[in-house]
Amino acid sequence: MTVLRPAGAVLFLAVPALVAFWVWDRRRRAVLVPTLLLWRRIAPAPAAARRLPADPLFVLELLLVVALATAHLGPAVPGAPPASALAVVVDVSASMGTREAGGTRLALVRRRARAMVAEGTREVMLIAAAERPRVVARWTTDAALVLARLEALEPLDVAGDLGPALAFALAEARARPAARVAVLTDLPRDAVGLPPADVAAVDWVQVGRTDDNVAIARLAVNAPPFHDRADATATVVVRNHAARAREVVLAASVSGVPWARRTLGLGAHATATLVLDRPPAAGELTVVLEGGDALAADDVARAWLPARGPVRLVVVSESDAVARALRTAPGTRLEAVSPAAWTAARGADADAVVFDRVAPPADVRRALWVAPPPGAPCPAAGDAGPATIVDWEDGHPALAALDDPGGATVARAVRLDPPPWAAPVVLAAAAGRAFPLLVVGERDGRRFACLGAPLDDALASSDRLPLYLLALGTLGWLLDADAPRVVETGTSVRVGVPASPTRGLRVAGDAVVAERAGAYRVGGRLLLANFVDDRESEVGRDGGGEWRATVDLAVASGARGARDLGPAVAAAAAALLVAEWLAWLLRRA
Amino acid sequence: MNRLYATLALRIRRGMGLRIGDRRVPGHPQATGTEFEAYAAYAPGDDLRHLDWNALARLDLLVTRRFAAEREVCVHFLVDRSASMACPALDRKVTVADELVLALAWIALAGNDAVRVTLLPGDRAPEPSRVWRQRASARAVAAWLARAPAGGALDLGAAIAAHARCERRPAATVVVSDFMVEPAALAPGLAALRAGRHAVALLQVLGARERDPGAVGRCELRDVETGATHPVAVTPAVRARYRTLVAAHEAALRALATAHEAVFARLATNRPVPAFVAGDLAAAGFVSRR
Repeated sequence: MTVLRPAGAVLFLAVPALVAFWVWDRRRRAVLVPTLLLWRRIAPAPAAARRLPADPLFVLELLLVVALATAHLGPAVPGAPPASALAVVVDVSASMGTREAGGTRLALVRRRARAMVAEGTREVMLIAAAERPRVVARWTTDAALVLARLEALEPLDVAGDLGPALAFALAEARARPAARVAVLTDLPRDAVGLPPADVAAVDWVQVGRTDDNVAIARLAVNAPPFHDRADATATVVVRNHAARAREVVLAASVSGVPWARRTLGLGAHATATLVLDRPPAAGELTVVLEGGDALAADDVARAWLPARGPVRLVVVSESDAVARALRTAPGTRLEAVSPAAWTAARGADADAVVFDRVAPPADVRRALWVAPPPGAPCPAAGDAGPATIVDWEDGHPALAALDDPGGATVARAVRLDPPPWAAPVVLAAAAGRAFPLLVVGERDGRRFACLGAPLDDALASSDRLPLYLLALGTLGWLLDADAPRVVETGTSVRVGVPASPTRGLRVAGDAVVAERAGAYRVGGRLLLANFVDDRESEVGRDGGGEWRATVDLAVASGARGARDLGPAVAAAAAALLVAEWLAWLLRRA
Repeated sequence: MNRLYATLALRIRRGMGLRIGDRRVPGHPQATGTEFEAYAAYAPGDDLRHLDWNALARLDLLVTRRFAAEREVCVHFLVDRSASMACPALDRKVTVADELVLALAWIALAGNDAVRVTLLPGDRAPEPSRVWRQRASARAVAAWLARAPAGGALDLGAAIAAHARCERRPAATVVVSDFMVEPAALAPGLAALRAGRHAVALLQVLGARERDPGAVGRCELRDVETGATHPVAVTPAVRARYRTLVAAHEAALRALATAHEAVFARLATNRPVPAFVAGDLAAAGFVSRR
């Protein structure tokens, strides 16, 4: 007989406490009577019986306390060790796709995991760890099933995070007797940022040696609105993660039309930046590194080159001031329409429609309301007078032309009342009160924007330049409504419509996460996913090894090799509690 | 409630007072009155209006008519206010005793008798009230009863004896108590009252828990008046034994009352006082219909 939780012995202090309470309670329970005249004719109770209360309630309570303390102490009897269990955490991040001498790193760890599963009959859980953990096989004794799921594992084009997967596996293992956790990865134990106690409690298998990897570290397209396509440029950053010099060929094409082909000589851990100009076409830009290296996931990147041509704008206004101002923008073909002459057909062919202080019925795909009156999607809630921009959403395309909009003034602003589906992009303040100045939203594939400042013909003057650039940037955002979305793998993005399950995409409602780099069509719109992660592309390792756990999980949880009698004693305590309650009820009756 | 009490009167055969009242006292013929009782030989100085002229004409005797005495009775209520009357508190002995005293006082006042209430606290000297004679004084009686809480240890026998010494004139004495004393201790006082031509009634007020303590288990009983303790284990057998002792004590009190020509009745606190007055006290001959 052993005890699993010696610290539980402290609960036995409740026994003398209970006895003391009963003694005190007995002393305290003096029953007042009007007189002892008649009672004195009854023999007094023996003194010995008074000192040791033989009350059934006392006996039951004493047994209850002893049982509870014993249950907490965790008495255990030696027993046959229960069947062992193994939780296998397999790293499936992008670096596990690195080719080594004997195959990819995932293939190497798969081979080792297969051997672990085949070591004996045991319960196995298989967890794949990428940017989040995924249970591939729940606890099962079906080794064939586990092996089949193991064979089906493939590396994902995402960065890895072993922490959540390991925490989950440890929690699962601690809940089972004689369980072990094995982590199979290409990361060294001291590089994962996990608590040392957790790392010491798992079997660690590390694979990988080669550092042969040249990666596209960045691909950015600069295609300003109202400019010709030929003005667009693409910037490519290429990084050599190897400890030796490499020579690679970079090939760029747009919609299948070759754009550029450069040979790059890169020193050890060197970085090269290329700027490609004068694209031959518009569309999907694909940049590929040729020459071959150990990791292919970061050798391809995609971006989008918008087709820039004359922008057809329709301005609906009582005056021609806004039309005169916007005509100054390059590459615009503008038509001014009075509100009375406006029909939906007038805007059918327009790239965007600008409603200046009017809100006629409109069924347009891209529209900008300027100082919108009631009836607009985001009507003005009042005149604010002169206002100053105080806050804005960094990185929003509508602000691309403004380096720092903060402090820019607007001669006359109106407060906007944004609808729930829209979000304020620029906030202005007047008279100590902040309010939305620019509101944008996307709904049912349509883009809307509301600007809370009237535009006039002096818009292009130097002192009104921020407002002018803000208006042009907003129109540019509207014009890019149909442009594909370029995202990084592993990041969640809302696509506005429920997406259907697609290989390489993890879908949850209208939010998707690309787990593999590539081009996807989601809800009729193109989604370009790139794998860009310097840390994951740094694949060089020291050859790895295998480390056994130094802390036994089962001993830590007190479950190995002994049968815990605590639950049975606790059940007995519960029965005693019921009995004590019944006895109390009987006495009370 | 007053309607019930208005139909009742205290049936007191002794304790004739000095003051004129409504209560006729046979055996004490007097020169004036409303109810003829006897003849007496004429003596010089007698009122000639009471001379029986028919007897003089027929028998040639000078006799005068004598009438039944009409006196008031002063009813003294000795109310036990010792600590035992407040124990067990749930039995409400004090409350029930006060209600009983108030009811009997109201009946007495309604019968044009006088009432005096003497509270007998255990820790202080007896507190006698003034003598009330009007029916409207019932409120004052109630106020007097409410003025003294129960407390202290009382020697009831000594208190009764002291009362007998103080009240030498015939009267009625009603003792309201739990009578948890040795009956023999009451005997001297009752004898003194009897010698003083007092009509005596002993009214015992007992609570249910006093008659049966219930299953209190092992405990230490503590006398509320003296503080003395007595450890007991209240088993069913002990409870039965105690009930027997209570019954024996009541029988002893009843015998003591009989021996001293006193009325004895026991009122359980869970019994309505009007029912006790109109029932038990009527059966005991202390109360009657008008």
